[in-house]
Amino acid sequence: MRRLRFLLPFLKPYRSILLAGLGWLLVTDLFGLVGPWLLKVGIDAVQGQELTTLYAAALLLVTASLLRYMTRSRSRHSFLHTACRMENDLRRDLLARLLKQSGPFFDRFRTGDLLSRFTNDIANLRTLAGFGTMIFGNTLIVYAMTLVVLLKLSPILTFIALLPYPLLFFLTRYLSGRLLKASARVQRGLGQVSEALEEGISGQAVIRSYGLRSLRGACFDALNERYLEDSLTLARLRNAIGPSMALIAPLGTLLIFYFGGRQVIAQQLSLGELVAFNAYLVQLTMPTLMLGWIFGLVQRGAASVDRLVDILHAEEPPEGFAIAGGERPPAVSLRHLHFGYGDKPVLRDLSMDVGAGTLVGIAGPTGSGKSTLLRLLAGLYPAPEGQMLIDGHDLTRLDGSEHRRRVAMVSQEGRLFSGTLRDNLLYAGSDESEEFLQNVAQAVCLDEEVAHFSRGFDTRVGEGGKALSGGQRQRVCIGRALAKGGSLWLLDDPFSHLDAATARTVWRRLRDLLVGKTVFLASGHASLLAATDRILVLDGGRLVESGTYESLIAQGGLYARLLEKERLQRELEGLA
Amino acid sequence: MRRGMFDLDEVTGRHLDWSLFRRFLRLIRPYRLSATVAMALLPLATAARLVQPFLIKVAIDRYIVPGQLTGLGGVVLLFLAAACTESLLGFWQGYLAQGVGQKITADLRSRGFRHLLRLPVGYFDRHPSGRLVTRLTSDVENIGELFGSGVAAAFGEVFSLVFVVTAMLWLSPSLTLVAFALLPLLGLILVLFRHRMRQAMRQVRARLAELNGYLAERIAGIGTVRLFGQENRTLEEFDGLQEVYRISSFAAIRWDVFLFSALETLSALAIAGILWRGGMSVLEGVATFGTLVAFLEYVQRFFAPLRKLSGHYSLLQASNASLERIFELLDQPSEACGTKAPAKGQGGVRFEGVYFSYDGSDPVLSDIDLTIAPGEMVGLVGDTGSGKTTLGRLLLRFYDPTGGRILLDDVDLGEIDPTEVRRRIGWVSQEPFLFAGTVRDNIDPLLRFGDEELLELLKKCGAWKVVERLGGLQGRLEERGRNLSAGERQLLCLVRTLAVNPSVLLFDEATSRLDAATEAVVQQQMERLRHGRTVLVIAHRLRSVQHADRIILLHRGVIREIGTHAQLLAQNGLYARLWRLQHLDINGL
Repeated sequence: MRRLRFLLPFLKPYRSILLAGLGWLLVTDLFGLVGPWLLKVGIDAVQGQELTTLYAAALLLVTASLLRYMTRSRSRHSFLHTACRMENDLRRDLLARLLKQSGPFFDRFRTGDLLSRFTNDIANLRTLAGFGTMIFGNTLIVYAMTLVVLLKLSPILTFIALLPYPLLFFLTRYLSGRLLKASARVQRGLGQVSEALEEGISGQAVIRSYGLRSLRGACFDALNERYLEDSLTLARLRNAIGPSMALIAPLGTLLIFYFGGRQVIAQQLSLGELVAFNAYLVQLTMPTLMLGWIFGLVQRGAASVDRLVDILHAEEPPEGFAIAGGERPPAVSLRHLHFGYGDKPVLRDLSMDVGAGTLVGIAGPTGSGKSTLLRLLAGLYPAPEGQMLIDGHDLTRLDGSEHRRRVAMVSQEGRLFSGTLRDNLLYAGSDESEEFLQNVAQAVCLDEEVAHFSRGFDTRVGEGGKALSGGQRQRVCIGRALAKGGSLWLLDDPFSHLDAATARTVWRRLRDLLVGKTVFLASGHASLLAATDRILVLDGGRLVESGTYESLIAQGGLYARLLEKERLQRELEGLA
Repeated sequence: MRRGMFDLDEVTGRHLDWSLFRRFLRLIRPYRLSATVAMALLPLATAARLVQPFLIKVAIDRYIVPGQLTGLGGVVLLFLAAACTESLLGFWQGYLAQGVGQKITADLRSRGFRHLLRLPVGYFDRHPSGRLVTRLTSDVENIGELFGSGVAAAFGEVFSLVFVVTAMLWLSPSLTLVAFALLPLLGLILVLFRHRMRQAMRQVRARLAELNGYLAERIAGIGTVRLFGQENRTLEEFDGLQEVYRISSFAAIRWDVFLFSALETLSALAIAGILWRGGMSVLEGVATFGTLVAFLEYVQRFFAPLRKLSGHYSLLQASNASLERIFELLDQPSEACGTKAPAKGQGGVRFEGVYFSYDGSDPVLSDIDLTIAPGEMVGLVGDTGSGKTTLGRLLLRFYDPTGGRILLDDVDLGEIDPTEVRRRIGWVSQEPFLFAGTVRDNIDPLLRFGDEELLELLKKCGAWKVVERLGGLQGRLEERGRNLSAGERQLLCLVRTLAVNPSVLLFDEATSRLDAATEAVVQQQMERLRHGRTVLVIAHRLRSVQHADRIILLHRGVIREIGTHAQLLAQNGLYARLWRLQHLDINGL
């Protein structure tokens, strides 16, 4: 229950609406109380042969139920609307929090997992905040009011009628304890069955090749059988609850008709009072049953709160110093940079100084740490303190979003967002002219293809850009970075999906546009790096060679071998 | 989210698919006794519940109003009996119905799992394991619910409606008319506004899907959003989508609230009507007091099932999709099986003009002609995408060739039972797959050997040290054998393969994922154990097949070169180039 306090700040802005809803609920339940009382008046009137009183009672009953329609609608509206608004607020806060998080956070939480928090958990909390609070409030009000009325009608009968309720209490306590245990067993059983299924499906080739079909089938059946037994036990317990609750209500009715009936005969009680008394008692059944439902809802809600708190209370990266002169190309220095994801080291002891406005190529085999270095430079992952300096300032102390403003990055698998080509190319948000767009498209060799699209720049790219080819997608990513602009360019294998000729053209044009900027170009194609000022060669996270293209070739080391390998590979491909 | 509430989209939406439903009924057949009893108990339980208001009427009319004390106890006892019967029958019925559902679930799961293992390998290429697991868990679970909470419960509610109406008509037709006078109004509203209500519900769902789609895209591309400094814009766009969602949500809430409140009000109005008409009738002497009170009770019991029915119907429809998916799985044709089990041969393999394509258009293998003599060791090499793994999979009969044929000991593979084929071909794959369980379960699953023999085999293969560390043959392997290193897993897989004593050994990149030292150990064992068997080694790394009797070079699905290592190097063709390339290789691939 304590965990649900988490929701209070989210409900606070709507407390006046909620209070109004509670007020209307109160009125609704008051009208509900009037019903049985009017019944009593009516029946007593029939017994007393007073026709006008009967008419009056019936008419009042109609009025009450029509009024009740109005108040009930109002109260439901306020509760359900509040829940919906709270749902939106929660979702917005979550997203805002996510947008502040950096790389390590997203290594911990997978996209699917995050999404399920946005959907399932928020839906749980919405139900809890809407139906849950409404029904809980209703239960409390109905209990309180009904008890008062019952006591007023006949304290003795009330006492008798409520006799079975403690029984109900103990029964549910006994059952719910066993129920929890049984449902835990069933959950575990389901987990085992799913695991066995998964194992069988992933291992199907092995099962096939060793003829283990019937053996694995038998193993699975054993688990399945045990799961069935546990499920049946649970079913037995579950089915015991409803009927035992259902027994309580008629028991009450029975007791009051027996004892109340004797009172009516003894003329201590009117028949109308007896009927009304029963009607009030019946009003208690539904809320009692609903309490069980609310209990489940609260449990699920508490689990959901935990999952949301994981995100909402995740640490926020600290704010850093403002950057002056971000539009000037920066100098970059590394001082014994060590970095790893978890305890797996990726970059080891990297040191270098790159002057402002230098075009640096980064070569190295897959897994040598090229992408990681660029990600650190972009500030997507926090670099270790004091090991990465931009213009002499420690990157960790600079303001992250200001730093990213001067960075233009094209990553290996750039993601597009659904929308038009124009939306994606101008993602950085400038209201640029058609001519600008055309220029960008031309720079990345996209203009001719766009001209062939029937809707030109208004062509929709589909979810994640899936309507485009890999090469087109990559060029849109480059174009989008161009449209944004920046003084520090980080290009992570941006031409990997382009054919060799297009890659060269795009790179040539891009290079002209980037003159004077500080540029890092990582590429799996060693030959693309020929026209850079300087090439850094990484292997296993270490800087193994560094120098100009010519000097590295002369050196005959790793870079030279990479070039040779590429040459041979091309030759082989030409062979087929 | 709104179980038991009105979800009109479900109610008025897609109708039940009766042919699916009939197939579902066939699943119940093995449990027809329990199912029939569960259904038969429903009317009894309902009767026990609905007789209670009648007993109240009797109590009032015969005893309380006339002031007759004797006999009241009898009626009270009857009432108690009815209440207890209702409760007991309700428990029994619910348990039986859910039990039938659970048993159907277990049956479907067991059948589904066995069927899965009989499906052709190609099926698993098309269906990710996660989705298959969901089918045999959530979908099957939904179907289990269908009987207990769907069919039986709906039958129960319909029955109690019928019972209530009959009882009311029997007690007093004129009062019944009064009670239901306003019901047509509800029907009219439903008919008139059905379309708009459905529209409202649909909109909410569409808007929510849009919202979640936006979220999914932005979360997956959150790096891009941050790099371009578009955090605020993203939040603004999201706000826009949320606002649209809220508006549609409010519209849906309006209908929901309207329907709920309207039903409550109708029930209250019916009570007022009965009080008025009933009171008059009592005064006129047409009806008794008891009838009036009983009627009031019955009216309340009429509206409750009406509300529940809509919930049951939407459950029925929700399981429609699950039924469809499960039957689709069960209807998949099993792997073709041959009939012959030819006498155990020497393990000669011949490919005759074999063509193969996964999708029917792009050929993966073309015109493969290859004879492997018994006892020969052949290396199959080629770049990624050259078709070498596919060739191995064809030999295991995981797929059938699109053209040509494959012969094992001079018998067409297509005529041999796949199980028999795989018994003769020992397969060690790139991915050493072990099951959770004991070492013994894994290396000798069919219990063919005594402990002594197994120990000897393990020692011969150099795997005893690993097994000893785990605690001997009864040592536990965790799921996928993750408490072992990749090399250790591969060693155990090798032992498992040899335990079957196959005449052909197929190593499919068996050492490619191992580090150099482990590879050396595994390779050494492979070398020692290959004697007397035909061996086909599929490898990316040329080094690992250097010593084979013959090396076959595949390139884009075609055999390009055949010969020994020395011959191929001398030929100075593709193999020689690949060899040089791999020696330059920096990744050590």
